[in-house]
Amino acid sequence: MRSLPLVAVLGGLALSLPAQDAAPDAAVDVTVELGVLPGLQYDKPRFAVDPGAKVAIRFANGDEMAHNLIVTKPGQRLAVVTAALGLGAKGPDLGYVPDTPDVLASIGVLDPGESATLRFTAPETPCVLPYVCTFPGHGFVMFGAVYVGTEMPARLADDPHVSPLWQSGDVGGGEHAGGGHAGHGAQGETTGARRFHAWGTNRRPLLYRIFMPDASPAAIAVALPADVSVCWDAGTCRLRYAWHGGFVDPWPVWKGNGNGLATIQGERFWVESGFPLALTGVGEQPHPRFRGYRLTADGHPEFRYELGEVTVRERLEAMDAGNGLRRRFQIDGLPENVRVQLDFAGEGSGAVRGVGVPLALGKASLTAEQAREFAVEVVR
Amino acid sequence: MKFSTRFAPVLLAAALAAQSPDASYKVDTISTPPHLDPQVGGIACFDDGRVAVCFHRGEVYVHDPKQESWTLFADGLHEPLGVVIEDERTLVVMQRPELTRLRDEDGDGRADSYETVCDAFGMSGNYHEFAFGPTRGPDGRYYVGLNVASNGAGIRDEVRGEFRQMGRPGRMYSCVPYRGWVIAIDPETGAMEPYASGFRSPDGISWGPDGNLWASDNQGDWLGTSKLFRVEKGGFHGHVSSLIWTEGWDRGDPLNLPLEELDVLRVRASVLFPQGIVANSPTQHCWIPDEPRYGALAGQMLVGEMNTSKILRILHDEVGGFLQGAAVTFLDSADAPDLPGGVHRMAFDPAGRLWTGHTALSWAGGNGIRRITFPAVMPMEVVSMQLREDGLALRFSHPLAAGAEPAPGDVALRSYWFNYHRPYGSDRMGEQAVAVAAVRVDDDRRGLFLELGGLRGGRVYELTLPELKAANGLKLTHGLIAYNLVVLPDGTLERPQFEPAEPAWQPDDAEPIALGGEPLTLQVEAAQAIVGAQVHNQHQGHRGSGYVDYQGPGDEFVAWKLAVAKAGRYRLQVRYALGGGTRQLVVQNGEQRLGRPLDCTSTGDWQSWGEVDTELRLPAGEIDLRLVAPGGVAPNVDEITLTRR
Repeated sequence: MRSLPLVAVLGGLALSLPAQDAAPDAAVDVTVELGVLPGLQYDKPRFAVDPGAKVAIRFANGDEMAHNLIVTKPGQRLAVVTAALGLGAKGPDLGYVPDTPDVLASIGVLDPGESATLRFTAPETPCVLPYVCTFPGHGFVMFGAVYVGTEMPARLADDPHVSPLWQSGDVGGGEHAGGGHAGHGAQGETTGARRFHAWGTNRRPLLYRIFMPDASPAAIAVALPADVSVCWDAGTCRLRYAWHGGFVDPWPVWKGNGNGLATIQGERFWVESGFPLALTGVGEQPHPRFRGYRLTADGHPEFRYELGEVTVRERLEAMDAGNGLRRRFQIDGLPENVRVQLDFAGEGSGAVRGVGVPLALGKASLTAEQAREFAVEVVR
Repeated sequence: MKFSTRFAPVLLAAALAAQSPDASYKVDTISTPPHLDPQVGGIACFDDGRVAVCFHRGEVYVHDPKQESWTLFADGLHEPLGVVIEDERTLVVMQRPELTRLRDEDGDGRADSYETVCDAFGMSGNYHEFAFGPTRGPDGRYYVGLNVASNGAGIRDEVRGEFRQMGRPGRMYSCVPYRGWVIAIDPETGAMEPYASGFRSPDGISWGPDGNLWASDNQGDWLGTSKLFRVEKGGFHGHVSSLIWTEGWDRGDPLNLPLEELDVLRVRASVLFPQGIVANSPTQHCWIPDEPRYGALAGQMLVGEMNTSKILRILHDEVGGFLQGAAVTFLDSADAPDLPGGVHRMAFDPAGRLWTGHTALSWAGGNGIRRITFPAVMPMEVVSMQLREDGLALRFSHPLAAGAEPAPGDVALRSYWFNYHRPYGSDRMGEQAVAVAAVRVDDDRRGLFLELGGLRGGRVYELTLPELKAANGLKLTHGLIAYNLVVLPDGTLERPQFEPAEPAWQPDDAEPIALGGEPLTLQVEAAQAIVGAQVHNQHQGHRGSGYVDYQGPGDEFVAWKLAVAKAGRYRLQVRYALGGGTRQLVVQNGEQRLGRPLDCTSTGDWQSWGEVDTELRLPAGEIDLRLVAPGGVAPNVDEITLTRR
């Protein structure tokens, strides 16, 4: 199937008509569109046809890797997968389609972007026909079922003929960057996603680096005690926003290929507008350079970044009783004649107040001495 | 004599087993901490036998095999894909956004300092921008491989580093600095040097004991098959997108450069892994310790394979100053049924056992950790393959048994090459059987010489040996070897000819679709020809199974052959999505333009579909209807409808 690498040439009238049209091609009773989701899954876990139906599966491989499509006799999926693996070095030339009577119909390997149509006639007797990709390594997870005149379990979780990923609801895709959901249907059917939590249960404080919304790709999610959480962005060396409630749901990133964003579990009470510090008397403002963080004995983070020769530390703590967030700043290496302009502008229900520094509308001008150590609170 | 025929083979096998030494590897499963996704990103062994492991979801644990214990050292990291031990209390990991030094300062076994050593490279937020490594060079610096992004997904609104639109087209792309590069990082100052370009997915980057920096790369666009490179400082290694970050780059979009020029520019791979035959997704390297107990395998290079249950062994051969070589299976699930797929990371412990960390991500693979113990006697294997003027010389780990030498006809040899081009992967090109003129056994019976005529450069020689028997009774375990012949013994580097691309669209061969009085709706993703463009389905709201995404830079098109019943005016409606701006689509009959270009205005985002229409005058009879993206810049196109006026 790789002889025309640049082009997928399809012949035939039936292929070019939309599925909802009455097919004038008498040879086809039902046409099924089949695509690929990230994470080695067809985009349909199962579908039903009538006994004796002439079926066309239009398979479009929109994935990043090659796949094939084989419909096997009932119960013969694993036998066909094993036979395909046994092809060894001959596999690529045969499209990983083994020569066995267990194969009812097949499309050899389609490269990314290619599409083709598979046709077969459903048996007259009710049964379940597996469909599977036998590209090496795919056959144990990438499969589905054609229900022929037999009832399917109402829930995917109870259906032994669908892939375990569909059973568990772990079918991926992730969300497309910039918004929008993979939206491949059947999500409503999914149940009980398998969730590994890297941090066990409810550990706070806790840092977790993951793709976060409304921040650079190098953001850090921080869970503080008293249900306060923060997105601190290592890409821009600043706090982006804070919320109250749960932490983050990492599953949109963990599932599928990892292109999604974690979702915030709770209410944002503060979204900070920009970088809060400016040095006067240094000429051009130095670009902040992230240098990492330390964890205090009880696990609170103290972020560190450099502004030229100046080192800034920002330690995050929760205020008592979850009333908000306390940020302790330490600035080292400030020349005597330099002042630090603070501007904690932001939006949300929260308000900023200084601790030991006179903040007015989030703003203050500090001497080098004053700036050595100060704190601000974002009250929820 | 019913009994003898039934039982003789069993008895024979038992007798052989008694005679020949046990040369099988033992694979132990190491249990991992509970409630952990046991996908391994990095593995390294302490001198005292403890093992540091980082996992995909951000944990770094230290495992003590004596206590069978796991101690959490650090967590919260963003997809760490490699770990290096600096000292008893200090580990350096490469996580997605940065190279980080984890240090346990108070000695409680847990890191308190997460020091950013270097984050001076870009991130677009695309999931495919993995960061591999680090490996420590002889100069003390850390070397890291930065993946390119995938057009299977977009980029974030906010990126890190300079964004260049020029790097955005292509299947795998590099729109922020140093994606597709190997970078070198000073361990103290964090100063970063872009070291080499042209990589796609270098999941496997290692300074070897041979003083070379090695990188694996994965089949895809610009990689006809997966490869192993000896990385050249300043060199370009074939995947073009990264070229835009070359200092002083002034050649525009590298996708537009002539293939011949790119081909001359690129560093040739040392080893090619023919797809589907040898490996599909090569990963980490490690070296069998150079100690006598490993026999003839001592010091050899291993490469993991992500896609199948396999570890490869490399047979280097320096020819004319170029280090080329061959790949052979070291171990696979046929020899070691307990070896799962997804061999991602490997390290030897002080006792000489090989630890493997497995992963899958959203691809085929496995998970967990295995520990492989070598047999006391090495299996019968090919341990070297060297090019001579008139053939290939093989050496074995054990002497051949008397009379075990194969006849020339018992040895299967074929040669082929892989295309270097923009599309994904390559067929095996110019495949031909290679006749073995003669087979000679070395005097010490530990080698075979295959006499061959007409050896050509720029080809893979894929050899299949029969099950040769050694004098100690062992049989050759792995007889399939792929040798990458780049440079001939006389020092010439021969490049394969580029085969002319097949005509992309041959309307004469297509079955015409009738266009009569009824409206005709066609799904663009099922067009009879999709030339250059790609079928995607990740944006919702499309009809049918997907839509076509024009990639650029060429004049890409989709086409149908239509049989028009009546000449006349037809309304053409095109359903499309466009995330921003205005783009055009051109309608053609073959090379001839029909009507005015369609101006497509933004639909707001890529999930929202709009419609644009135009009127065309179509002749009766067969036409070659094309929807062309000038320069490959066009909206995503979902569906067209033609209606007679």
